Amino acid sequence: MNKETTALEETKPIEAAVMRKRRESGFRVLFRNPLAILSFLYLAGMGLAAVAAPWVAPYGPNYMDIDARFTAPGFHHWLGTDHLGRDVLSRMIFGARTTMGVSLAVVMTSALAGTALGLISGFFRKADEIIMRITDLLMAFPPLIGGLAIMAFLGPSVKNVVLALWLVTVPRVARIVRGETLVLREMTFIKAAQMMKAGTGRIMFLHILPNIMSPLVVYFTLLFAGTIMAEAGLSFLGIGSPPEVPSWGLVLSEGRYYMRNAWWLTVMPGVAIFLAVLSCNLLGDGIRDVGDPRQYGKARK
Amino acid sequence: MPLLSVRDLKTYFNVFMGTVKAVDGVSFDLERGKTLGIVGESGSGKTVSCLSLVKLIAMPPGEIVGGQALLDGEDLLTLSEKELRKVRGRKISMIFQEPMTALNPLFTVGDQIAETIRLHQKVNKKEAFEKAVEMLTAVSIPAPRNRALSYPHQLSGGMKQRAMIALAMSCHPQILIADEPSTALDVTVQAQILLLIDEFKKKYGTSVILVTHNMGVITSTADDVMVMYVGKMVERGNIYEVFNNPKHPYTVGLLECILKSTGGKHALKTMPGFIPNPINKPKGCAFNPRCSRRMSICMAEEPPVVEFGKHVAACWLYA
Amino acid sequence: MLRFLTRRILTIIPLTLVMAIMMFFLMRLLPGDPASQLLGLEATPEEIHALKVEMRLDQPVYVQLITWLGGLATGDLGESFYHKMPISKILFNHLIPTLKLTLFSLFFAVIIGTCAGLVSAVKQNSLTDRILVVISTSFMAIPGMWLGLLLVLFFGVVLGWFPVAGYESFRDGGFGSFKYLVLPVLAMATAEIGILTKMVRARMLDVLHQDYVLTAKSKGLPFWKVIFKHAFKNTLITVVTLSGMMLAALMGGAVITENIFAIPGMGRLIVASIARRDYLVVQSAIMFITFLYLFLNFLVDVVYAFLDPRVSYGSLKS
Repeated sequence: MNKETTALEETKPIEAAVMRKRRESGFRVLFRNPLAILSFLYLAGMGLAAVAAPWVAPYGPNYMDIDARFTAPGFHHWLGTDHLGRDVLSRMIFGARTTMGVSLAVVMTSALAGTALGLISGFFRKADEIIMRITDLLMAFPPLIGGLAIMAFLGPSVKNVVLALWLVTVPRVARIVRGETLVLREMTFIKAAQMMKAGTGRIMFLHILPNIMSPLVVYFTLLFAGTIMAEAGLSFLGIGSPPEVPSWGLVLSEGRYYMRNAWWLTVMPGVAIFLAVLSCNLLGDGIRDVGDPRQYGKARK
Repeated sequence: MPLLSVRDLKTYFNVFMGTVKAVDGVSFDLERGKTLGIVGESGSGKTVSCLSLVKLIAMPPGEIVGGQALLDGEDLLTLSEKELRKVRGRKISMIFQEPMTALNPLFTVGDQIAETIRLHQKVNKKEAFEKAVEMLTAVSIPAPRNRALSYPHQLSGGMKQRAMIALAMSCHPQILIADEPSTALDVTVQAQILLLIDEFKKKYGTSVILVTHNMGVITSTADDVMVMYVGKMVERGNIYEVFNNPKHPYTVGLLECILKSTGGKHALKTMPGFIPNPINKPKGCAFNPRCSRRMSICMAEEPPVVEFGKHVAACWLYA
Repeated sequence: MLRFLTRRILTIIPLTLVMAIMMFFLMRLLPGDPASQLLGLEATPEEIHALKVEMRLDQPVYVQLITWLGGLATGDLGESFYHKMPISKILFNHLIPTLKLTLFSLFFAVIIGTCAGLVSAVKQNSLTDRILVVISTSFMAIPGMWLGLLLVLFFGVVLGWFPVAGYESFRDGGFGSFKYLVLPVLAMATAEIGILTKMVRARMLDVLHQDYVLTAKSKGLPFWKVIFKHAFKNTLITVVTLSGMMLAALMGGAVITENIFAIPGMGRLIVASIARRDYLVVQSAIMFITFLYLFLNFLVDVVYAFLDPRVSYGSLKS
């Protein structure tokens, strides 16, 4: 055990014990949480199915079998068929490609850009002024409305959905990173590093970034959930992914007109969105708990 | 007869990793109009002992497992929640370490003091407020009427602690529990706050339990002292006796830490070793791993409480 | 207090101005120009030119910009190509349903969510708490549009308790007009109830561990008074802050909900106008709904300032 731990032990025995325990079993806590594992497995499975869609899906996403229109879920079509005789399961698997792909692209790019902007904002006063004014502007639109505005003028396409949602998420990520950075900058260990003439870059990447990582990861999982919802919403309105590219929102939107006779067209895509979003939230909660010492039975003095 | 007599108090916390015996068989007496100082390092159970008296610990995970706390012959630990509410704030009141967070930020200082007064005395709103202003005057807050209408964030740390004292003393309690009342304050303000508590003690005959980790604070204000170590009482007695003739090696060590630090070649003497993990205490005397006079029995059995008149120590050295 | 509010208003004005400029240029992103987009491929150059003149697209960009900004300031936003009506009038006609939908949902979500979160926190780790946690977690993940459809299917089609779609103004339908709002409000509020329950629970648990709660208990205050007076007022501030964020989500949700339930509000107007390529209306409506959002958010801040003396006496939050 290193010096840092023994120093802790001196002042706060319970916390010190907790810290020691925590280092040993951070992952164990996550994996003791069955909901978090299940969620992770579900998302991973969904991701794999999306990647391998052409091989996994029983039919092509746009293959129409007019004779088999409105087939209820059964042996040939596990999740039934729609008004054009397209296999719902296949459309959902290809839809996962769009929905999860868009969300992943949005979250990853906005994580990179937002983190960079947030760090810069937290360190350089002048840049901060400019960046914050821009985020103010972008965040003045309610999220979906902002996306709607961009989609309205760019036209429906997967690329535009990514762009629209990216513009919605980047300022929010930047804000959070900036806030965390400003708090950390006041901490003694950062001051100490500055005192030892560590370069700004070094402090940013070696001291700040690792310390804001865990709340950020939680935020990104929640952001992923939000993006899935938003993408589905835009596609549902018919201004997201174009008609030839299936996405969950689109399948839901097409199916709603036949809701009274073909319930599966409405229920299935909804369940898919629900489970994906739920898994993200539960996984996020699981990751958050790892960072929360109360999970280790912290006692108050 | 002492005003408050605590016998064999045990408060345990059941947490995920096991049971923390935060207070494990502590006994002490509080005389009328006197100050009892409780000293110990963080986590020694000083605060929990005090909070247990009026059942203010979080239950669960906390649990008062056993013991007695007789206030004027009435056992506080057997009282119902409803009866305890009449004790809290009226017979026993408290002030805490952090004046910054101890007052509710959303209510004016005057309202918070008046609330206590209305709770325990039959007065109307206006009278209660007037009494609150009186209390603020008594703790020498300048412009008390204006301050009564202020919100906590508009007061300085020292002012807030004065306001807390006004709140705690507003119903003239028999016992004031002051939990590290000066630790979070500036050094200059610290002395003023301790002096103020002392003033009230003399004026109203209030008994004070002063919880601190600072031996210096104890020497200047306490009449009796109790030293605690991981949930156990290690030594207790009159302040002069304990300081002039400490029995327990832990007390000796603590005193050396301050005495040696004033003059002497080496700036500061420290005690070797660390506080043990409270879930997994050492067998026998909890202090044995750090003790310079350890014997084999210290590692096997808990030490008995040895009496030297009113001065007691829990140590095998004197058994 | 007054200074805080003026400062808050002063930040809205430049923000709105920059937003208006941004919306203006966003419209220029359209492939081709709005006139040819509107008329489609069969239109003759003459027709397109005539429309351009009508839409003032033949003028230089800065003149168009000034016209647009001036129009925003005076309320004269030009005429809708599709409706052949002044845009300001169209916006006004579509405002009330959206406002009703959003505010009722907010109100409903705040009441239910706060109560549930409070109960959950006070009874932490009890069976009630666990059930509420499961419910709120599930609620958060339910897509509003899907829930809307299911509600229509169940309560509208199967049970026939509520109308499947449509809208009636209060003037026309009196209190009966609310029956049109029940399902849409449920669809919109559910996710927000989930979020609020979760946040209120977390905040309340945090507050219950604060020193001032211990002080309140040590005074001898009864349990319910500690909870409802000292702890709850502090939690309420979080609720107000969250309301601002929920407004954003609800106004977005209103777009979808209005489309499901055929409610003639701003959201339906925007989506329908996108389909009709009536871009002037889209531009103005988005501008208007965003301005509305900023205004409602301002109201939230006013409530916040009333609740928290640290804001109104100007030491916290600039």
